[in-house]
Amino acid sequence: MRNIVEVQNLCVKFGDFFAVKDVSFAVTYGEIFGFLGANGAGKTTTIRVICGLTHATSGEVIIAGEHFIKGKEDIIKANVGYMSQRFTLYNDLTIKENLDFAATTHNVSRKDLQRNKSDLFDLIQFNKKESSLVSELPSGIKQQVALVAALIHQPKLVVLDEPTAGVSPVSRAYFWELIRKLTKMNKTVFVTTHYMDEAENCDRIALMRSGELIAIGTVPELKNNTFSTQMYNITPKKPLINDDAESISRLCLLFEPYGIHYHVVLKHDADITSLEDKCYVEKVNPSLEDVFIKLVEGDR
Amino acid sequence: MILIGFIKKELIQTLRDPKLGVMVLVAPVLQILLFGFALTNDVVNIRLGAYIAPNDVIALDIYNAAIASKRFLPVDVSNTAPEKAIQQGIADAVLVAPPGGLTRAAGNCNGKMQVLVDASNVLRAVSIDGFIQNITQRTCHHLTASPLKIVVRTLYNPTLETTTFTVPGVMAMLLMTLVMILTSTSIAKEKESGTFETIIAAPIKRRHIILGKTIPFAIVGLFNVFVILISGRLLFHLPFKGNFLVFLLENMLFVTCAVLVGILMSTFVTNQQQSMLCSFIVIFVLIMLSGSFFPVENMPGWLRILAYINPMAHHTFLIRNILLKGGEPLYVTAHMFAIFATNVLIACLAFKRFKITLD
Ligand SMILES: Nc1ncnc2c1ncn2[C@@H]1O[C@H](COP(=O)(O)OP(=O)(O)O)[C@@H](O)[C@H]1O
Ligand SMILES: [Mg+2]
Repeated sequence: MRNIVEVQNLCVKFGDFFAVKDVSFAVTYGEIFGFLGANGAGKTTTIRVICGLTHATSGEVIIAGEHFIKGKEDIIKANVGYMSQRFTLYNDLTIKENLDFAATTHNVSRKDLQRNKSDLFDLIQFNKKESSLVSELPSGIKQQVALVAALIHQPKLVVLDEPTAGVSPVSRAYFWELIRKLTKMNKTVFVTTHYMDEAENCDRIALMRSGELIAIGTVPELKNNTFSTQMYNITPKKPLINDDAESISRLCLLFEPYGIHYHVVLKHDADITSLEDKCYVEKVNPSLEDVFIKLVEGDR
Repeated sequence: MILIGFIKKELIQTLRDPKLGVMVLVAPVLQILLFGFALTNDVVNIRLGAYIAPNDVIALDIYNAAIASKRFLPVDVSNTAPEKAIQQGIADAVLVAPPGGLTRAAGNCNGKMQVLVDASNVLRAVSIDGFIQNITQRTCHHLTASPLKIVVRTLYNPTLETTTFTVPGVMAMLLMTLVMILTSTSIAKEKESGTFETIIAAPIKRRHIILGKTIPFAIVGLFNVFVILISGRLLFHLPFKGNFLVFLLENMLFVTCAVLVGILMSTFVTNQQQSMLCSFIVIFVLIMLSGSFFPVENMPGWLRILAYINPMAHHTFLIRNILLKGGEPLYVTAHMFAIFATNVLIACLAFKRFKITLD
């Protein structure tokens, strides 16, 4: 059994609206699986089904070999650690009280709680007082405490819904370090984000758009599959006027503003010379953002 | 184990909330105090009429003493019948001397004077009754040989059940409001802030959540019962004639009811604002139909049926009966059973509606 999560033909409807439409994928043991998509793409809805919080309209979800059916929810939930979109700690409780309660809901014994807690505090190099009220913590620390709470019952699968939304870039970078450390503890991490740059940290990625899965694979796979030819970063020598932009874009498969630069993929690599008149040109590797834009635009 | 952790968390959260102190301690004392004031509120400008013959010295003494006390204003009622004078609003109270005069009757050891009092305002009527009794006592204390009897006939509200009526009503209202709002907003808050999602992501049973919410708030509610009872007794000299254990049991039943109503209500709302709004509507209806302030006996039949399925009405009946009459076993058992039955019903409904998914 290689897959900890198997999702088959999952559909979730709200009224007539498909929040998730015929999505199938699998997550293998021990990987960091990134679930990407813009706001409203259906990431949270998919996660809620995986965690047993929402019923699927149709389709199948198998977690650690168990089908999500009536009576089996608790077995599955015991294997999953869930950290929701908003780090849902109780602001009026201390760190210790929050963790005690999290342990309670998962029926973790006092002894296991102490052991797991100290392991996890070591992992995140936590040095705050456990008696601090959560409301007094900066959001970066809240996020870490929420992660500890989600892991307190030693789940095999950790499901993190936009864990880095609303925290500082420094905290974000640190958090991804933590996520990588988790895989060393034999955890599988299922993480959603809408930050494309972060997703480069994932072993495999699924791209969602409007409830549908549009691509899945490792980061290099996605890049290679999406762009079979070289991508260039061009910097106009003078600001481009409309006609210039028009004529360049006619040569391109992809022509995307990228800061003051443009990322372009040419229809015929030979056209590169005509670009060099007006712009400085360098070869670049496409970013995930390019991939996402290409895949999304490709359908339009 | 799960349950104990749940209760612990709820209690910590509840006790840490500074608003709770206000709700549990300040509000009841304030309400009871206000009631105390309302009842001892000085009653003045009582229009007093009299049907007394000019030679009836004792009766005239009483009348003059009353006017001299400055509480009463003399009104002329000689042209109307005593009861008409009150019905038409000419007088608030009327002294009616016995035929042949009070002086002679007192001489025969048969001094009986009637006082008619307009009791459409109960609080006022109680005071008037008291004043006249008092004044009579003082005016006639020298007539030791022939004690006077004052017969007060209160019109339009013969039983004058003020204390019986309103204080238990306030107690029931405070308890229901506090416990129901605490419970339903606590659950609504979990839904609003997203912590509910985290709870149900754990392998936790519905009964754990429901009991985990019920028990702590029932404890807080019971504590509130004592605050209300003690402030009622200290500030208002509320009698306590019944058995304490019966009183406790009854309150446990009713507090459970309030918690269950709160839980049931929380299944209809998604945030604290809705929960508050919903509480207000529910509380309003429950109070109106509880007989706490408006007697159930005065309601039209169909409304009375609603009142009899209102657990708060039974609670009010019971509190009155236990505190003031000592609690007749049959009466107490019947009404407690009614509350118990409603509890079972509400619990079933709440359990059925309470979802541990987000659907
Ligand atoms: N309970 C619900 N009722 C109706 N529509 C919903 C509900 N939950 C989510 N949606 C809709 O489903 C779509 C997907 O939402 P979501 O899964 O939260 O997206 P994401 O997490 O990717 O931002 C959105 O358009 C959202 O408005
Ligand atoms: Mg989301």
